[in-house]
Amino acid sequence: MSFVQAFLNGLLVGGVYALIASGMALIFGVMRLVNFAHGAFLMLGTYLSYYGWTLLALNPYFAFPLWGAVLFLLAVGIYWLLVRRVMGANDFLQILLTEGISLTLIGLAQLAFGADYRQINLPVANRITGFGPLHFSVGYILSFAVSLALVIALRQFLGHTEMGRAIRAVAQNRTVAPLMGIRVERVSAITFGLGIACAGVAGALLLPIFWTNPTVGGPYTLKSFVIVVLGGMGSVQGAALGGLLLGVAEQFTAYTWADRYTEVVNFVIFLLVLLLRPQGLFGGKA
Amino acid sequence: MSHLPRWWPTVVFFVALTSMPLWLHDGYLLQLVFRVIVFAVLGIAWNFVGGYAGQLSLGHVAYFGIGAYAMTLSTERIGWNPWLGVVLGAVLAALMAMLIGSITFRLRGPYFTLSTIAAAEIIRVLIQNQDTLTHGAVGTNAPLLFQPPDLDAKFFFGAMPLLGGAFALATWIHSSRFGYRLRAIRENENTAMAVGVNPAVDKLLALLPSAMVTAVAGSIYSSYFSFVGPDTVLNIEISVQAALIAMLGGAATVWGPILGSIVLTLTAEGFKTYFEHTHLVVYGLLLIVVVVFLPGGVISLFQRRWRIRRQTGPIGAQQ
Amino acid sequence: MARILEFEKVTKRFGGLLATNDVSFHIDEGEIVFLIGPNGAGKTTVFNLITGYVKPDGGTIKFAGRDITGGEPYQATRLGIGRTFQVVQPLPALTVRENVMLGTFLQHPRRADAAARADQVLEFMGLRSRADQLASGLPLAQRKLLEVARAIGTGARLLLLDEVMAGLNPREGEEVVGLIRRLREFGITSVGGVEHIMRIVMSLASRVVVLDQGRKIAEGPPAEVVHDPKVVEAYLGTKFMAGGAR
Repeated sequence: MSFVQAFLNGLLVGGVYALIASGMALIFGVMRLVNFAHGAFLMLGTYLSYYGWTLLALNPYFAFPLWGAVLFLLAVGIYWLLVRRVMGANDFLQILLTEGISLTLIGLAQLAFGADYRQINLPVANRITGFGPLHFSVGYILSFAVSLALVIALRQFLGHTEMGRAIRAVAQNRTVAPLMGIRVERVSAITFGLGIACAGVAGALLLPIFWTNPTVGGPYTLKSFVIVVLGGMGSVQGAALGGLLLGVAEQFTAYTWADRYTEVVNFVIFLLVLLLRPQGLFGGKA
Repeated sequence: MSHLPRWWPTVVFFVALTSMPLWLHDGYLLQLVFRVIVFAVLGIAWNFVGGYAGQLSLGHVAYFGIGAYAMTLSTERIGWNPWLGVVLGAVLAALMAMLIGSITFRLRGPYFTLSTIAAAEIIRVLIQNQDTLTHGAVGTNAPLLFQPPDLDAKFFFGAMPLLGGAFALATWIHSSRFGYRLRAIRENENTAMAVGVNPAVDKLLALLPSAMVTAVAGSIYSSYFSFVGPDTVLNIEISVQAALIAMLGGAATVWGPILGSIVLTLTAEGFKTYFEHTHLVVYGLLLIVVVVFLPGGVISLFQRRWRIRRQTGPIGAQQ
Repeated sequence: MARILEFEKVTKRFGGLLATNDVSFHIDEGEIVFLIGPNGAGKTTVFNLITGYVKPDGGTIKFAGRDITGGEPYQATRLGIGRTFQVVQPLPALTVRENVMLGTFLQHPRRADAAARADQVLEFMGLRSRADQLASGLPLAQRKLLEVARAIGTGARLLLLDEVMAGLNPREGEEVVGLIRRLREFGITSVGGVEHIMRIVMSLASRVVVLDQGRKIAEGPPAEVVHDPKVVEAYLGTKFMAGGAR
């Protein structure tokens, strides 16, 4: 394992992180909502992917749009039912509500799927490819590619579609947006759906290269926060870059130190950024 | 102020509770009530920082774990009496609180909450990975604070002073100048500063007893179950439980966490007899219920019913 | 008369914006001094600098002879500077009395004493009947009064009122003017105010300081200042007509 290998591995996994964090950045940037349930939805994405493959032979790398759509609808439903009640309330209540949703989803997953680890065996994902001294698992490359494509697609959506513009308008000024004919509630619901879908699809893409169980989401929620803070709160672009950065930082930690300290790296980066450069690496609003 | 006519129920409650091991001989029920007591203590302690000062900490398990590990490791490695270890745990928790507090209290809102989670997780990972010193992820046996026979009763009697002390402290804070300053910080830090409050100092002053009480609770709890391990005493779930118990019962009230612990522990226990592994769903749904229907906690039902003048409103009245 | 506030050559930058540009003025004990000027002139920034919510980049600020430059807000309050905010910031989940008690606790550590003193202040402000209501339930005018009550409760000697009249109807405004004239009863000897409503300024102020884009452009008794051509130009308005304000 060389330095370059660690760096590239970091980028590959960082791509998926970028997708997850983009979802979180969207939700926070537009709705000012602190979403502690992000990881739980990622977990749901992994299970959709899992059962899609084991029961319906649907390859995650093709079926991910379907899982994204399912989670989008689920998220919109949860928004109407619950989340919309704490919009504009103080973040205490938002954190508690989303944490409650998270625990409920995890608990239901435990009841429905059992607590054991699950993995799938996707032949294409297990293949190794590479050049020279470097080798990569094809699964990583595929997950990275799809994630990156989605992040770019998200940016295009936000930049060039009417709904995308509406979303950005609400992000900039929630009070003024209605005066421009934007239905803020609707935009919030769709944003929440999109953000969750990002997490869920990332989960679906992670399954072939990792494993899952009901509690797998927790670390990803925290990771997303770390990345969003790193990239500059609310900046989708910053989150994407932050995701790549974190991926690399983690791999370097594993390379120079030990695998098990990668978690600590997350938190240390988090605290350092918040204390030293709260507006994130890529500026934006503090 | 309005505690004078209310002394009677309090006294009756504590006498009845303390005497329980004398008339309740069912080991299972005693254990259940013991857990209610320990978690009530956890909730009361969390309340100082979370309810009164309004700082949503989800990292309190760090102090719980420090208490448990300090007692265990000092007994095991240095040969101390476990009770000395309990004191050590409280002292270490206080020191750690100063460190963590000085970092995390600079942040506000969700950033603060996340930083408390980060701090607790750092501690968990460090302890989990120090195999030689701390027995790593596997954990180890915790020493017994009392000697058999009648362990259930003895632990019960041991936990009561802790509850009593926490309760007394909460009562004092509730109507003291300090308590009002904490509430001001919770409501609006800028306004608090305009009335001469130094938020940085007062937040730390609230965290100190909070951490120490939590640490002692951690020591007693792990001793009762004879086990310490990162999954049991450094699990983020415990942080969430502490917050939930206080919120569920009524944050920034003295009785709230006690009510909350009763409701939560009994509900979780009730579900467990029918379905295994339901405690997460129970916690989750209760959190949702509290936020959506009962932001003032269970106690707000009684306040309305008995028309007791509310000493403070629900958390964050900017709804 | 003693000089209770000295604000000397103070400068404050926010990024590229020079919010306060070498501003100097003072308040003597017993005076009521108003800061006026067009929007964006930096008036509230001056209050924030005095009370420590914002730290100056240059200059000195002295209160009762004591250097308080760059101090913390709670220090300013404890020394005897009370302030209200332009956008009222009550403590919503506490009662009206409790809001004021937060102030009176500074001089009366015992809860009963603090409550009694708070009631006195509430009586003065005409809020006594609402003492047990939650602050969140008050209409705007009462919230403004509560804000002032809280500041009075801290035992301040100098009271800084930031646009206290905004949002009040003329009758309510008159009440507040009356109260400001009687602040001496509570040991407040001096008042600083930021105000837009010229009628109020004219009737209360012993002296007026005019700011425009961070600079002081005029100072003096109100009747003089309103005729100052620099001031008229800054406002570009017809509010200042020879013969007095509306």
